[in-house]
Amino acid sequence: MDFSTPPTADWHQVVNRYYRKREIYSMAWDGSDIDISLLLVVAAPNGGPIAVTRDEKQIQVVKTGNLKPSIQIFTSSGYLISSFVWEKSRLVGMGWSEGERLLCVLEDGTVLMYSVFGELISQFSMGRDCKEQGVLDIQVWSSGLVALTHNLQLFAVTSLEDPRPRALADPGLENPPTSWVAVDPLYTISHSVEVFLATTSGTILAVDHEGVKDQLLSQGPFKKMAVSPTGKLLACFTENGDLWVSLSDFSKDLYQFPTKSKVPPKQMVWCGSDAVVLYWDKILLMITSGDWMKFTYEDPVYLIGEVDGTRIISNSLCEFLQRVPDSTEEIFRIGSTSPAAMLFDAAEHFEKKSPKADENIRSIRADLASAVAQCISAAGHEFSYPLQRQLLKAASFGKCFLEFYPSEPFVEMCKTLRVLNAVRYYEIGIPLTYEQYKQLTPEVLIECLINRHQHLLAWKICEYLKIKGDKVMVHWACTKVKTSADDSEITNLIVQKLEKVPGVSYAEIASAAYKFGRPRLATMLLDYEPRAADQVPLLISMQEDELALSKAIESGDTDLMYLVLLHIKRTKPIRDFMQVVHNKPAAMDLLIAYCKQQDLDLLKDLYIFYQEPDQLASTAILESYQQKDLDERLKGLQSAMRYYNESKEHQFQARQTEEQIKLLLVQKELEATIEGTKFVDLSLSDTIYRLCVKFDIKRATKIRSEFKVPDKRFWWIRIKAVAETRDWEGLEKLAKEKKSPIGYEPFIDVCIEGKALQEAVKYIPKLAEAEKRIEYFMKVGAVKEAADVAMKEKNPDMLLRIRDGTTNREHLQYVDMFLSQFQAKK
Amino acid sequence: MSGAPNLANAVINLNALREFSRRELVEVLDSVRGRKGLVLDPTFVGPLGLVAEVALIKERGVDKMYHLVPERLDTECKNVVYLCRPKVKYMKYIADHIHQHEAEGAKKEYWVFFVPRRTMICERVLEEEGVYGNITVGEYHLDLIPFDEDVLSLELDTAYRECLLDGDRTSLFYVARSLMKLQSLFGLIPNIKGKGILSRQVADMMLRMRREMGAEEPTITPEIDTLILLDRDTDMITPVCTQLTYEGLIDEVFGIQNTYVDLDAEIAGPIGPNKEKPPPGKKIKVALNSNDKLYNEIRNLNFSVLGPLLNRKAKEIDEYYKTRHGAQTVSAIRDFMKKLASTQQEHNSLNIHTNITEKILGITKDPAFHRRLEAEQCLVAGAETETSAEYIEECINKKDPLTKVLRLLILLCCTQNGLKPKQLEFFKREILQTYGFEYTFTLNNFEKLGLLRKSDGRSTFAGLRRALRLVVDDIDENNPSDIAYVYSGYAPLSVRLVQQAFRPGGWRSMDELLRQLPGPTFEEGQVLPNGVSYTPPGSLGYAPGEPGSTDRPVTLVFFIGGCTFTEIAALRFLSEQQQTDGIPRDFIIATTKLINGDTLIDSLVEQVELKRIERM
Repeated sequence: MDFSTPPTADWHQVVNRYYRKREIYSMAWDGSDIDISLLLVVAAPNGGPIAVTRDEKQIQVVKTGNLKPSIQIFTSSGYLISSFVWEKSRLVGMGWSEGERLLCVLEDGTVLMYSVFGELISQFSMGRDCKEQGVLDIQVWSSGLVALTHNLQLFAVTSLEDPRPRALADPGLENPPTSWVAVDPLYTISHSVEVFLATTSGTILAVDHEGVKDQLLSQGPFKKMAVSPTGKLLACFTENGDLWVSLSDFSKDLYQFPTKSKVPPKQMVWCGSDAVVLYWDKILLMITSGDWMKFTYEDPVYLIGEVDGTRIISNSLCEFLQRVPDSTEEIFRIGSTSPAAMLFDAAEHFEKKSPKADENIRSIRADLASAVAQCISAAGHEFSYPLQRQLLKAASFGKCFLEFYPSEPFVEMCKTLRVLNAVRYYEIGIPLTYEQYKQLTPEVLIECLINRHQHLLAWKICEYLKIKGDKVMVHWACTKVKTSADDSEITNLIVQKLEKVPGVSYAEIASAAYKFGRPRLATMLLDYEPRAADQVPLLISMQEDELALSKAIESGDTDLMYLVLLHIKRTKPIRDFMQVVHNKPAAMDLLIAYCKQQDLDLLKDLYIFYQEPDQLASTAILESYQQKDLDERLKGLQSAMRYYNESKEHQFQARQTEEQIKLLLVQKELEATIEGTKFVDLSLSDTIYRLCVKFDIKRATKIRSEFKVPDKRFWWIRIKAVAETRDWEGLEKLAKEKKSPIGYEPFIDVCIEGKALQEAVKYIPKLAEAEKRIEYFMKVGAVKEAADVAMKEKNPDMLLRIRDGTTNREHLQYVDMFLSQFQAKK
Repeated sequence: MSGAPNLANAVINLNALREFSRRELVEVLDSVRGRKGLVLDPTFVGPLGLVAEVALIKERGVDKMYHLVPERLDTECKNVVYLCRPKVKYMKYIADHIHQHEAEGAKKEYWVFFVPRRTMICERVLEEEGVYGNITVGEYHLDLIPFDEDVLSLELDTAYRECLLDGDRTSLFYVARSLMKLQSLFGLIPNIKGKGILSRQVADMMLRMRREMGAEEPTITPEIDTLILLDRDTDMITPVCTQLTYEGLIDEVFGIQNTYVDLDAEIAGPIGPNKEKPPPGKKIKVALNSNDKLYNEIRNLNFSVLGPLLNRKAKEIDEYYKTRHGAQTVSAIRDFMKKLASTQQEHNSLNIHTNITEKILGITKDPAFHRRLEAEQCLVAGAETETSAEYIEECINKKDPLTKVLRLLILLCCTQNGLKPKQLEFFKREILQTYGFEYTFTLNNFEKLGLLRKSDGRSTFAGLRRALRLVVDDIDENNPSDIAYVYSGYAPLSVRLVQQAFRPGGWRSMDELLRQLPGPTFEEGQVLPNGVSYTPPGSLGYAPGEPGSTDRPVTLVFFIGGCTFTEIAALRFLSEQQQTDGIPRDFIIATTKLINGDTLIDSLVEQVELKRIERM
């Protein structure tokens, strides 16, 4: 091995473990006027960017022409990504959320979200209460933030996409907390955000939406607190200079360490989950259970807690302090004889063509598979290319001696390392470790790269890892629309590039073009968008109402149509609105359906505008039915009649409406003369029926002729009335009035129904068909009469059937007598 | 799931579809942490029951369940979860609840899950009511619900009315989305055929949605060979005729809802000497699906052959019980016991169905039923139209139920291609004077739909009747050879269209004829995604599938606007026959709603609220 320094050169033993601190970058800002001791520094985790701005709490020499503060964003290697002048009011705090978005919070609770390029992405408020009380301090986590107000109340937003500020329970503090931290909802048991407030009385309050829990501690007051990367542990620094580490649910104290410093550290962060790093001027102290270690720095530094270590930024360097991963330790620990170390050694010997290689391999034959796995894993933990290569070579060498060793882990690691090495390259400046990468996921890494406008690299990684790359292309296209080329040139360029990428959102690109002030380009691009649900809202915001409506109709999605309709209705004068809808029947129908449920006035306007008198008439009738006053109802019907009369087609309706008016007037009069009977709003037939039941045949007949009720119906009504009144005499009278227009069956039926069989018999002879007569005679039990009919018809078959229908001996004899006559004839 | 159909024998894995919906329901309920009260859209309770049993819902932290009705909601639950269709009236009820709770100082959190999706209008109403900020809005994408091994329904009660009368075609969007979901589970459907304007629109939307999906296309080998979309509108004759299959008649007489029928306890009650007599008036829910072996055997039969068949079954069961006395050896007794449970089940079912049959017989034996049937059959056959018209007039004069009158009138109108202007006015006037002037809106509705109309002089139905052999004279109900047995002589036009689709040349060969029915006719192919190939069963080069698969092409028939039980029976009958192209096919029926003439007409009758006159 021809490295100038052995891999263990930067290892430090702490108790029985090893820690290593390695230099990753020389900061590109070294030599410029960046001095982090004078700045407010906030860096994003997972090798993320560093935002700096003037620290208002420190007295500074303000250079001329630079009165307004600015925010500068650097890569972790110190390259300037962007810089923008801060025009807003005083900044209370900054923090990074997922996807490298910088949140800047103002005292009035306004939250501004910026990209790494200093572009404002969105802006929201922490709520009215928060605004009134004023923000004192904030805490940010990957997906949200919580604000502490001057009134010592807490307000949290847990989703940055859909920010809905909610108050946490009132902690009831009288003095500001001596320190406080928020726990990412991802790591709390309740899955909602939890805040720890250290009080001046020395305890900690755990606060969430539901309530406040006093942990009843006496070790405090705590001057600094830090939650471990997985939320399990809490480190607290007491007034007396003790570091105290416990489980974050306070169920168990883990260890305590007296630093003997009454001054609280400038910064306290976690190094993975197994050590805490504290920083005072010039001194860096790493404390773990049972041991500690000190580093001295001449330069000021800034610490970032990572899942697997601590990133240390100074004016000149970016370093990484971490516990040496197990596999690495196994291989490189001085004097290690672990199988992995033997394998690594064997591989070296093999390169030197030394027979020791074979010897080594033989000695670890049984553990070769795990040795290979450890070499692969150790490669992942290295930043140095030669070491990575050496470890992978060892793994590959070991693999040769194994019959069945899956190739995936090896291939996977090679791929991962290619990606990691690419993003670690100092110009990109993301010093991502293997652990961090696994936690971050490739998708989020790609998003970060996109946000840094590293489209080519992002696209290549997508292709390499076979991840869908449409987002990369869309983002690239979104930056292209801001170039100065002319509209069709850009459109062609974008369409050409994106043609082969499935699932590309043209709407997003168009939206970017529109926001950039290029509506024509936006419209051109939008035409390529296949998803109407994305197309339509943008067209609306571009005030292309008619086009939006057409596209919505094309999609068949009624919800989109409503979106456009309601938008136009709200923003345009009613005339224009109707003009737009006019020649689009699908939209028109939908609008009418909506109006019927929600907006009757608009409905009438529509009918007037489109000149639909029959619809207006319908509406008038409908409204008249809502009236409890008869005159009002009549008025409504009269206006309906006028509408109907406006055109020839609706003469029938006009006549019917007129009749209804007439009927109501008749019914009114009937109610006035006949006590205690309701007539109004009965149908015409029911009115007549009710009169018949009241034996008022005279008036029934009069109304019948006034309204030209057909004979048939009138007779049916009268017979039905008999069923109720059992007025058999009246029925007979009716039968004699004239020949029944509905035959005599109904007469018989009504008698049978009323169990007046004798009455029924009166009408049976009036039936024309012999069959029917026999049927009915049998039904009322008049067997002899039935037999008489059959005899008259000279039909022995009928007689036989009659015989089957009876058991009465007398009747049987009667029928048999007839039957015998037939047989005699034969 | 006791009452839900067992889907094990379905020709495509409908159980996967049901599981999909169950999983989503669990996700929806779990998204609300902690204990909660569930408020359900009352029209949605039945359909939901076919997807998830109450126990499953309770397991997900639901303490109490309520109906979403315009009343106070008193609940101790801190989390209130609404699950409802996106209807404006429901939004108002919800807003009232929230206002009520606020006024009473109860602090609660609210979730509204829309089925199958949220709408602008509803969200707007919640906003206007000032409660939108209190609510977390979500969606439950439940669409097609398996009603049986071969029946799926969206249970959109008013789809027909909304699409054709109100001009709100939202349901079509849901239809298209449900088909996309089916395709995601069972592969793209290579052939799409359709008749009618709504079908055309659904097909267009499907094609469009496929484009919108871009790269995320399913790459499953197609399990469904053909999709046939049919507008209810193309055949309004079938639903207005009285259904004559057993299942159809149960629906006509008792009404089947979500595969259940509510029966008087004395009809459905358990039998046996020890059982108590049920209290009168008590209703019992009986599940009607293929889980009931006996029912599965008789549901599609013409009702007239049911009596003898049930007798025979009773005898068989009797014989079986008798073998117990003859069983001497241990093995004979073992054989007896083996079949005991299933026979007892069958016995119980036989009892219920005998009772139902008797009840229905009481109705079908009535001369009134006969006259109606006679009128219907005459109209369909184009004979003695005058007598039928007089019969309708008599029905009005006797003030029979308006739904019956309208069913007959529509039949008259459809079979005569409209009424003479005088006749139309006469009937309209008769109806208004008999049932009341407020039915003018209802009549307007039917005219707008073209179900009541003036004749245009052309005689189209007679041609269709001949060409499609809609009337089959010599039907042997015991041993039918044609689908016409379901109406004792009339072959449902809709199912005839399905049959014709598989003739050589398909619908194209009878273009002229089909043009007489409303709406466009189309037959299209879908290009399958790269890497997916499909060889229809029965064609050259088809390799038989795994054991258990039927090796028959599956056809999905989607009735947009509703489907009757007789149509299902007719399609089941077809699946047992060779098709006109010589290939036997399996049919799966999907619809927006299972209907009969009464429920369809009812949905079109305008409910007018009449305020009582208090001042004159």
